[in-house]
Amino acid sequence: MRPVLYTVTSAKREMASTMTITLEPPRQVGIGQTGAAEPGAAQVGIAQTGVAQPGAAEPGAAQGLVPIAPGQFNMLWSWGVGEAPISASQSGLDGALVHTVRDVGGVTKALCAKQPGDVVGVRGPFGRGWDIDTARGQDLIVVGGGIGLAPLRPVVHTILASRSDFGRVALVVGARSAAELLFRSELDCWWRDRAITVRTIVDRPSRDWHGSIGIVTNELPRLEIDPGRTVVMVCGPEVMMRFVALNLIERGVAPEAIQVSLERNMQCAVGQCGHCQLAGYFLCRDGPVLTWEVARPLLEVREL
Amino acid sequence: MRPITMPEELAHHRFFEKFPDELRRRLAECSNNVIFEKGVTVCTEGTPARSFFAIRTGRVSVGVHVPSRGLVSLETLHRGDIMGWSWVLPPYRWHFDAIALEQVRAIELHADCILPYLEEDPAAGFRLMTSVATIMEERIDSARMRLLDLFGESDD
Ligand SMILES: Cc1cc2nc3c(=O)[nH]c(=O)nc-3n(C[C@H](O)[C@H](O)[C@H](O)COP(=O)(O)OP(=O)(O)OC[C@H]3O[C@@H](n4cnc5c(N)ncnc54)[C@H](O)[C@@H]3O)c2cc1C
Ligand code: FES
Repeated sequence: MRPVLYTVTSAKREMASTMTITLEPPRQVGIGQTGAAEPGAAQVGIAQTGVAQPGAAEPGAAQGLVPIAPGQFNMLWSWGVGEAPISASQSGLDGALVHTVRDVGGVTKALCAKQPGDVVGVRGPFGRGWDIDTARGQDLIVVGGGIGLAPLRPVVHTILASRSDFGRVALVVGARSAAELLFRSELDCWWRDRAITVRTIVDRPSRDWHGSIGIVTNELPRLEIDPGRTVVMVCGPEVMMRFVALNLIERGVAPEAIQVSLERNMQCAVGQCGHCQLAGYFLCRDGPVLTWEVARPLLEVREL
Repeated sequence: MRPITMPEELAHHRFFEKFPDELRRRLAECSNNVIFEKGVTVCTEGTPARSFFAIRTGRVSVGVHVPSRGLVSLETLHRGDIMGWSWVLPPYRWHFDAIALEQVRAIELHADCILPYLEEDPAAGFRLMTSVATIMEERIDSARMRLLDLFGESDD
């Protein structure tokens, strides 16, 4: 599957190394016909893996790609550098894509440097996202650490759009420092609105930080929970997800009610190359969101 | 409406809620309510620690005084949290500074009253110490995870 060339329409700096980019689909159908393509873009030199998984719609058939769901990801391709899997940080938009990228290396640096008018190749959407429907009628705890809040933001948007479908909802957000709290102004709005409980906690406080200090697991005992009717969605560093899951299981939450989003290197993103394989699972196709019941034994397989 | 009794107050605090009634009743005899106004020092490193606090409302900043930096905050304790275990172990001195970030209402439990009872009733002592150890474990886990610097390089 070749990337569809999208145009960057806005690039917003979230913090020193993190950008949110909005991408608009080409006006005409197909690759190389947008007029905005960079030289040679139609003959992109990345792995071609054919079609998406059986049964799924062929992405990129029309102008843009099929809409991306919360927790799913796209492969974003920067000309001459490469591709990286990046989750949607907003969903439900009419054709546009919003991705929040943290610069950690080659591809993400290139993506963070994009300016309006630049072109980004997109393949997707891929994978299984958050199972939000199981949380309807239940209480929900959403836990995001660092850039891990990005794939959870569409979950919060979905909840706020149909708030009465859910019971108590708590969002717990952890970051290294206050300056590194992602979507800070939006978090402030959610906190002020009080439609959901918002708790932020930072690991390295500056002198002017008067909120909680520590890691997200410190906030969990402070939440009143009804374990039998609680669904949990967690995204962040793997150690953090593990401790969050263990903490909540100790309090009686069922492992199958805890959803985590796992990260592994990806290449084809359609379940063919095996780069993202964990035991019998291909994270690009069967994940990235898995229940803790499924994820835990996979994570026990330690890398050598 | 009759005023809430100390055993009932303890039963409403998550640290004590699962304790047997009798243990709660005895602990209540060793407790009183305290209020710390915003900015007030709750404890000072090196001074005798003859009690511990169960926070009912408000937040307490726990930290260490560092020359030229002042109080460096290490954690914030909230409603439902317990502050202090230095009362359990010799030499019974606070290991940190703590100040109230806003008005704090807490239950203060006095070691001189609790320790003899725990020695008399080892089962009760074991119950309380296991709960204190659980809190210590939570804080150690948290400190270890913070050492891992999970979120990677700073963005500052
Ligand atoms: C399903 C999925 C969804 C993702 N969603 C997002 C997202 O929404 N936003 C986002 O910013 N990132 C996201 N990532 C992570 C992103 O894909 C990687 O950061 C990216 O592939 C790294 O590629 P690179 O070429 O920039 O870095 P490389 O040049 O490949 O790596 C440079 C350095 O970064 C380290 N590194 C590589 N991957 C990561 C990582 N994931 N985290 C921290 N350090 C890493 C490497 O060990 C190396 O030291 C997601 C990953 C997956 C699997
Ligand atoms: S990335 Fe190729 S199988 Fe998942």
